[in-house]
Amino acid sequence: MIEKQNPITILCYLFFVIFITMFSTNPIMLGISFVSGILLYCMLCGVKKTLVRLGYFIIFVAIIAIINPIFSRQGMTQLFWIGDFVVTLEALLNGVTIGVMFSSVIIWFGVLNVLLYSDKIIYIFGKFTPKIGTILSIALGLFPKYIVQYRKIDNNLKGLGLYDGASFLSKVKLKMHTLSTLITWSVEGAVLLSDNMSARGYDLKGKRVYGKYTFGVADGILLIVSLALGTSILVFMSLGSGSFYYYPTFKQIVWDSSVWIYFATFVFMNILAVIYLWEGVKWQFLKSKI
Amino acid sequence: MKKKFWSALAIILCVMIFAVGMSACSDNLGAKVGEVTIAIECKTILQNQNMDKAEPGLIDNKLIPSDGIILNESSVDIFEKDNVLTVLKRICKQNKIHIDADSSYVKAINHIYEMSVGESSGWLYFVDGLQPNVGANQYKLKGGEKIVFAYTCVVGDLK
Repeated sequence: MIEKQNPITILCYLFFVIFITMFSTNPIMLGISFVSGILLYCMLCGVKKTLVRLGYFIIFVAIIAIINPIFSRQGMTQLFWIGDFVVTLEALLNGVTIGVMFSSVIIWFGVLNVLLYSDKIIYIFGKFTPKIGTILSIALGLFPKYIVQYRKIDNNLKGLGLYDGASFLSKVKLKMHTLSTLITWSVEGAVLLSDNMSARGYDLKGKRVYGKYTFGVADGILLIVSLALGTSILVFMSLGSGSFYYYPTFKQIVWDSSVWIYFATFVFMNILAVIYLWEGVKWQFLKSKI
Repeated sequence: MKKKFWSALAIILCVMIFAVGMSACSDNLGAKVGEVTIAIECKTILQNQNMDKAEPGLIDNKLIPSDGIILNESSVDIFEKDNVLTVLKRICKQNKIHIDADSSYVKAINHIYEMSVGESSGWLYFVDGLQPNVGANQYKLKGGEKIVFAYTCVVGDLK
């Protein structure tokens, strides 16, 4: 069902999810967003890939948590002094939440990359702005291509035996050489690719894009729900519900009427995961048991 | 393995030398010259329309004193290399008042930051009732001056 869902509805939904994540400073909202993003990514790509990503995120969060107290002297809970500089708990935890915010945006973009591959992006943008659609589809495909090609070049150098017994400095030099080769290859490839695509008429206004996506009832429901819930969460956030501050010390989280925003966010961010699970359950029931 | 050990040792040594150098710099002030008085106040925040503009964190944690005086007028010894900023930093350390200032600019005293009560708010300083035209780290003291650090909310609300 997710596969057959109209790309426009999925783009709209993910757009709202990423916007809400970017503008919230509340640790509960960020936690909900991070956990549901990780769960959805885990369902779509498997446990192994998710664990690799989680490892990177932990390193990333740790780096930001160390860097933030270096530049910020704010906060009332003093942990320790280094010379004249004080390191505070507030600055440390603010760094952690900033790291989690970036990580959850990255994981949601990962979900977007899996759900909306280049065909779907050309389908979305091809109707009114073919050029932007083409550029986007090329740009989103670049990184996976680069990683594959980088490994190819690196393995070539390894096969030539250049890494054997090399010192640290010459290894770094070899990596730089690999990178320069990759960039040369990519520039050449970009020219060829754009020539190819324009020869096939991707940037023409009248070109029609084949897409087997219809706009069904499920699409309508998902679009209306994401528009209504997403805008209402954003509006209430801008009005101050679920607001949070770290300095001078953490705001006390009170369980009053503003609690509904956490509940709404939780429901909103797990819609796609529920649809995905429902699909699996349905498949289990529909399998013939002969 | 050996290489890693030596590089780690070198980094630790560098950090230690840096820390020792920093503390040595701040201690060397020269001979005593005289005394000045210093006071810190934020009475402008207590005016009614300004209290509404204050950040919720300041009000929730009761960081704005009810009489607007953070530090009563008190006398400090000054030394040869002292300027207004070093005196402020020293008196705050003695009285355990939070201060966030770099080498030239005062961002916050008692957790009240610049721009936290309206957009044009921040800390100003007065010597003998007049506002000097130089930064606090460039104003040299002779002894006998009256220094006041005051929080401004709107341009021109202090005298």
